[in-house]
Amino acid sequence: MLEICGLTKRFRSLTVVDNVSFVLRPGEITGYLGPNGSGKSTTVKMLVGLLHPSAGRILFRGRDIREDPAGFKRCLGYVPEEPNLYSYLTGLEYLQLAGRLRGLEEGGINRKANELLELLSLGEARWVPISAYSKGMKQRVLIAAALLHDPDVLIFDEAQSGLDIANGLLFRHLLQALAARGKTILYISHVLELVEKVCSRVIVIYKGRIVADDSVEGMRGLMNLPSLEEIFTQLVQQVDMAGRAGAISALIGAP
Amino acid sequence: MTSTVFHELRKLFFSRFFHNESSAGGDGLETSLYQLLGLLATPGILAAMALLPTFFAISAHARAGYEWELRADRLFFAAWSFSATGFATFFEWDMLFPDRRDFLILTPFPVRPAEIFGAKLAALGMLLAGIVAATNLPSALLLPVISMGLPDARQAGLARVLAAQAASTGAAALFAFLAVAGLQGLMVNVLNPRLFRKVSPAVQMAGMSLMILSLLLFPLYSMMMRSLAAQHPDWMALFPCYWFTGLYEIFVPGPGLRFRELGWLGIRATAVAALVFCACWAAGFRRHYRRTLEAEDTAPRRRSLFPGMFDWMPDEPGERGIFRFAVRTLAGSLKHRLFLASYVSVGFSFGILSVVSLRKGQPGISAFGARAWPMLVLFFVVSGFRTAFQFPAEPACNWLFRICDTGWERAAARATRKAVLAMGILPAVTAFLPFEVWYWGIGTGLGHALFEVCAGVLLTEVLFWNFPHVPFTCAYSPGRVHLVFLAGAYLYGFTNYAFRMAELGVWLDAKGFRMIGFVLGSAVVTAAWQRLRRAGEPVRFESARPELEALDLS
Repeated sequence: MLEICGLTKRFRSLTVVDNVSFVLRPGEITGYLGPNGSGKSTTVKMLVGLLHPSAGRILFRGRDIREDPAGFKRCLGYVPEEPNLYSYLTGLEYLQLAGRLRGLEEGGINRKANELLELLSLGEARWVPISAYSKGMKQRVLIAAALLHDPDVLIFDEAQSGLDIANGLLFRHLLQALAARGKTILYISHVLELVEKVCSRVIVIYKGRIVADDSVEGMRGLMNLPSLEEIFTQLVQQVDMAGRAGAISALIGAP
Repeated sequence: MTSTVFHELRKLFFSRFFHNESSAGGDGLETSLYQLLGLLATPGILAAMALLPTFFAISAHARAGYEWELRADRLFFAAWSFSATGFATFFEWDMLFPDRRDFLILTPFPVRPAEIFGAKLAALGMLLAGIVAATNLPSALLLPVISMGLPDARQAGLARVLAAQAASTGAAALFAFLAVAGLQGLMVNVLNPRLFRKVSPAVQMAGMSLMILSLLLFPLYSMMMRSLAAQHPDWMALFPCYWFTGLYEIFVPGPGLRFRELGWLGIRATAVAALVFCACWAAGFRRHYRRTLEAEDTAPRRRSLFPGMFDWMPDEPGERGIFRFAVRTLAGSLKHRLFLASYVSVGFSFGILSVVSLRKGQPGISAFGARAWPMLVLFFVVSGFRTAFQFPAEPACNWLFRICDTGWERAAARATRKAVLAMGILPAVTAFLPFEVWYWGIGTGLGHALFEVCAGVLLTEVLFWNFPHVPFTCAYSPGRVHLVFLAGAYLYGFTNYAFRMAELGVWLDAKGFRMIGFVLGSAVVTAAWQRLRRAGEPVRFESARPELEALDLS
């Protein structure tokens, strides 16, 4: 179990994440939603150690992760929002690097890496430098690297971005299969249909604060709205989007 | 620290010295490494071989003052070692600490900062060892062997001469590396992140330029060495290349004590650089780690000091778009600015060699050299822009120009020339103006500046005659045959252009109306050229014949 308690991040005078608390449980896929700039990726960066929290704690199996950051990271798989990869390495070389940095056995790394690449339809591209990969291919390399060491906690930050239809479908089934194996999953996405289908629980963050934390069914009942899209719009979007679209259309037609 | 993780990280950091974001795949690490090592080793081997006839002649008949000739030869090896290592270290400036990409990728792994620190330090050590060995090893072995016929070397013995050569060149390289890396460590500790990000590219550019100057000005300070040693000016102790020539003489004494004192100064300076490096680099690492990750990505870019200063230059919308794109790309692209700074430094060095004349070891200014200096620099500025414009900034992003391309070859040509004028010719002429006014007087100096602008514009028309591109959008590298041809043409071009234009300038100076005629004539020729330029060739965004170039058939 991963507990986030009062997590706060300030950049100078700007509070980006404000006293955020939630719990991620094994076997559960938790959707983390919010508009751009609401603090989702900042929360995740604090979880994976890329940013230091200004306040608050993260507890993994009841222990503060600061006591043993390397131990926590051994149990963590992470697919970042931006495909940060060493582009001169090939897909296979990147997975080998990831496996070695995680202290896996050499034989196991090669076997698992090759099989994962095959299963993610990257078998033929394994010796091609990542610089030549499409966005979806890079994303699949990152997914493979996050799964290579069979972690207990998985954080997917917009992981389906750039995936084609077939791989998008594969990813959806993969999330469900991983949850069935008892993995703790935090899933960040803007694709509300997908979140609605795979997540057992949804947390909505807006302007750095949590505005909703419940199951999709629970939210529907509470807000008396039929879909997650409408719930999300109600919670965070106060702007008349149809009116704004009309204004854009009028603007481009002006001299 | 597990050995596998350390080994992986060290390998990763070492490979990153040879693969940055601008190199997209292509050659493997080994190729780049061997190319670099070969490049560093060649001058030392060639110089040692070139000295053979001199050494044999001195062995057969020790002429008067031969010790000073040998000292100047040794100065070259120290200067080469110092400059090449310093240049390579400044070139890798952004890689001396792990960068943001390293931290973003590695932090989510179970790797401790201490492991990253140790692996990076080890990778730096490997880089230094590689540079020192490639730069100095061939000459450090070859030179003592071929110098064994010389009287002082015979007396000292081979082992001592070998040690002297290795110590002299090795210490020069070590000092250069430690001083540059220590400087960055000091800056990381002293400056706040915002100021560091602002100052760092300027320091890197200035450092690379200084290293080019220190190598190419070798003929000058080599010729001044004897008279400086006789006069003992304090500022002689400011030149590291003299220190490490003196270090050789701690092992194999030469004439006079002055150089041995400089040698001891070199040892002390290297020790200080090592201390600064150890203290600042280690302390700076943790600070750098934190602030690299926490840096604000979204800080708005500061507005230019002179916003829109050159906006009046382009006329049409397409021309304005290309012009502004070229200006903004150069302002934002460090690799292009570093390339141009190196190019201009070479021209500046040749210019100094032409302007400084030595009489009995005393430096003076040659009037003709002073006339040729700006022309030399202008040649390198304009040809530097010609080459820099061919390196794409973001090749994948040129689709914007391609989907908007509606036969705007004329707009691209005009915008390119105006960009060279605004970013190259005018700043270079302005930089020379104080010297021109000081040396020639205000009226003549201003006249020279006008002449230089006109000459630069005409040169731009010549060098950009066949340039059907939007700057920074097309990866177009000439074939191997072209490169050899270009190198020869450049060598012939810059010497001839600079000195013929300097002669023309002297002729124009004699009568005021000649200068007015030249300025008007240049304007007429440029305007006529613009009209006559063939409009047929469309703007190109790809190499003309990629399949032929791939097979090296062009």
